[in-house]
Amino acid sequence: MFKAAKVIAVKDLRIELRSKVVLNQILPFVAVVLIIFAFAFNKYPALLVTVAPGLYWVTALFSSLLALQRSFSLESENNAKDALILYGLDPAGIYIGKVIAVLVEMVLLEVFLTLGIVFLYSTHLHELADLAFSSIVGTLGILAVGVTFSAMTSASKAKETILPLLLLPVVAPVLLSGTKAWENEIAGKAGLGDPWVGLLILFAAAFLALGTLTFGSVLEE
Amino acid sequence: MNGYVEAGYAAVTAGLGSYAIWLSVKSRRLREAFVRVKVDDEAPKQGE
Amino acid sequence: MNRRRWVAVFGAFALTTVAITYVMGLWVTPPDVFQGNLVRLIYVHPAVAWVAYLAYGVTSLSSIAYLWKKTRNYKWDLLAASSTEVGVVFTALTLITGSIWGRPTWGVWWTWDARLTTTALLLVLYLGYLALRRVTEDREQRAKRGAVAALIAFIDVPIVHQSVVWWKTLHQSATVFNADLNPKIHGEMAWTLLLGFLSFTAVYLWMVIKRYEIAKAEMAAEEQGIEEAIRERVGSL
Repeated sequence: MFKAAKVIAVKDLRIELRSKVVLNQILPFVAVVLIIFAFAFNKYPALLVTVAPGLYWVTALFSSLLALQRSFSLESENNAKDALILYGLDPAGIYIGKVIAVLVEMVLLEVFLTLGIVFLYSTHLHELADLAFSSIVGTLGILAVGVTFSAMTSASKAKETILPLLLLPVVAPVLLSGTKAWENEIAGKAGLGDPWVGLLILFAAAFLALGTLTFGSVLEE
Repeated sequence: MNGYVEAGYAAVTAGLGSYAIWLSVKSRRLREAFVRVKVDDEAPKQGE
Repeated sequence: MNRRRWVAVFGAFALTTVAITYVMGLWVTPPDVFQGNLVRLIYVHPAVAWVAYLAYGVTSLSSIAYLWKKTRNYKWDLLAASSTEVGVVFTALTLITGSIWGRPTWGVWWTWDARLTTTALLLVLYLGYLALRRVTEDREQRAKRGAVAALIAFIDVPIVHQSVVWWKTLHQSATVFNADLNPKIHGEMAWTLLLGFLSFTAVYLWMVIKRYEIAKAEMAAEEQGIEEAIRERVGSL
């Protein structure tokens, strides 16, 4: 299982290094969203600091949709997904590999996003380790469900529209917990014992387990 | 009574009622379609 | 009596009980001391909400039954899909009647109360499930993926609920939401309440049976269509 995961993750990241779609398209998308939020709050720029945690998670969620779609458009070209199964790769391994590859890309995007929030919105961040931990766990939760849903929809004609509809309601708790965890951490109120961080961990663990167990049924014809 | 009560009962009646009508119409149509298919299937046999 | 007749009789029974609930709720029961006539919504709103939760419970159980190899059967898949569709209708009605009740009680059509927010998320969650089924053409893939999506929703609902409850209690002082029912409900009010639950559950059962039969007939038609297409190309089977 872990060998298959490594094969898939390395393959996807190597494709990204060569094609640079995340770097050239999704990263600028993050920048645009950061600027557009500033327009939405144009009358009260100070509000941007207050709502920065929420904006962070909304932006992370939307860019994860793009990263997921990118990751699975790789497989639907020339039916590469069937080839993966034919090679005899373990479905659970494929699942974990996909999650790891997109997670690496998302961490990169979120570092950039955090810099944007610090410099463009003049937000003061401390407790960086706590923030990073909750971000990674929360993103892992989003991707744990996202990879399953992307695999289900990537071959369908309506893939662009159906993925957000499926994913957004399910990951609503991540958005809520992530925002709360960030707010508390920025306020210096709670460390890792924060119940919101606990909820993020629970979410990621539950859906990683479910994804690993069911990915075989999702891929099967 | 006060408008709100009527609106609430009306909403439930309209919602469930229209869904129930849709179900009935659809199931009747499907049943008729099946009958037609059966008749069509049998027709050429008689001619043979 | 054949099966179709039984279903029709049961439908008539469900309709009659709902009619009796309406008569009791609208005219026979007295107005409440605090809420006045508004209390009459109690005979429909909680019952409709209960059916929505019941429907999704059935969806979850039958999806698990489909995924489990020992009990795998298309019937479970069709039942899950039918129950979800009926559940979505009842969820929408729960939100509408709740909103209608909320306006005069709290002064607003909507408030970010834990139960309201969870119910709204439930609606979109299962609308997504139905949409996924609609875009998945292969029957077996539709069944498997639908079952996995239903399982995801099933695990998600308690987490959603917990997060929303914390969201409201950890950060906001007491909300307006305490329109809790008058604890002293007696006599005909209690009976009408109970009748409401029974009658809407009967309506749910009738609707699921109807929807299930439609789904089954459509599946048979699909198969027949394929067979006919094959017959046209290859000659007789």
